[in-house]
Amino acid sequence: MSSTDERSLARRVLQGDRDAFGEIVHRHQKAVFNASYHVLGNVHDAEDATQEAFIRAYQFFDKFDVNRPLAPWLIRIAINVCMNRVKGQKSASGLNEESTPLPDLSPSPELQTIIRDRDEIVRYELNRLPVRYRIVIELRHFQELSYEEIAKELKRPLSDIKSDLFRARKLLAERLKDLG
Amino acid sequence: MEHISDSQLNEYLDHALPTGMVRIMDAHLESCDSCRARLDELQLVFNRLEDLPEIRIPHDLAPNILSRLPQRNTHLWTPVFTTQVGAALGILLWLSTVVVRLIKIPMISNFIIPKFTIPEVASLFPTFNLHSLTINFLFIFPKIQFLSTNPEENLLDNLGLVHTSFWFNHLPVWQIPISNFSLAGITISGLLLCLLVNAALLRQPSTEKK
Repeated sequence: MSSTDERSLARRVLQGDRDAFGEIVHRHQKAVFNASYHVLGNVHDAEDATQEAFIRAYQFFDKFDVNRPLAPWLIRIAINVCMNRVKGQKSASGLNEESTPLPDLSPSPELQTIIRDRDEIVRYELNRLPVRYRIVIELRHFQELSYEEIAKELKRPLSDIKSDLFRARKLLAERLKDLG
Repeated sequence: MEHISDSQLNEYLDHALPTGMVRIMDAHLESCDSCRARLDELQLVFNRLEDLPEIRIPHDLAPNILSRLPQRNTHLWTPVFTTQVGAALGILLWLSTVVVRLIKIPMISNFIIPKFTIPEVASLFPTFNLHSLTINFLFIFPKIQFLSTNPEENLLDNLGLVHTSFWFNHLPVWQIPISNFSLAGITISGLLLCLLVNAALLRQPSTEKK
């Protein structure tokens, strides 16, 4: 897809063309869904978050700079939607992620035979990470943002971002090292 | 060099270190098995995440999203709307200059130089020869030839002349001559303003394509 093509689609959306927005959804839903899935960890919630993200994007499309690529903008909206959902769930359940110890969810031998695929184990381990670790992993590894860009995006100090990212990787490294 | 710290290893793999530091680390990693092993372990995480395939969406989300699309927030001051407003203001300005050109002499003289009967206050304002200014006007609107800025001389029963005085009889007097031109100007301006407000109010729904 050429950037001119995408710009023309975005301009049509700005003029109120819903069909053009439908085309944008078709093109980017997979990427937005995957980003949501990485943060939320299940298909159903990721689907809801993806829909909400696109609806928000349409609502605030006039804030989008048509000269920039669409995908990163859409994914950032999706990540914000996911963060709000996680916050909502936490406040509803009264859980505080900072103080709640992680449950030991190491895959049992039985489970390991079920989760044969290595990629599924990686996903499983990713999902076991605290949400704030998953968010920085998503932004750094899948969206390829720099530390500074992540800090700006999440409005958090750079040192916190680095700390979360390095801890997340350390946890993953410990859990995935037997995977070879 | 001491062993490489965890954060240095992370920044090394993220290409976030200065070149000089990278050279030092490369040299250390060549000779230190412990740090090399830690780096490999971390590199494995990078590789696993990089190799992770995208998940397929269970079904196309577009129909559901499109059916739930709300009204979009639109900028009021789009180029088209700005042009419309500019054109309307231009017409208003043109009309007002026409109206003012026709009635400016009595209006401006009365408006800018309020007539004071209190000498101390009146001396603060510049004075005009109001009679010479109104002479031209008399040729255009003979009907209001009796117009004067002097409250005592005002002929309130004169048709086509609205006289309003504020605070006290001595204080500023606004005399606004009413003519067919000014009435037409006011009516057209009012209509244009209504149209503009309507356009602004109706704008948001009208941008949506169903």
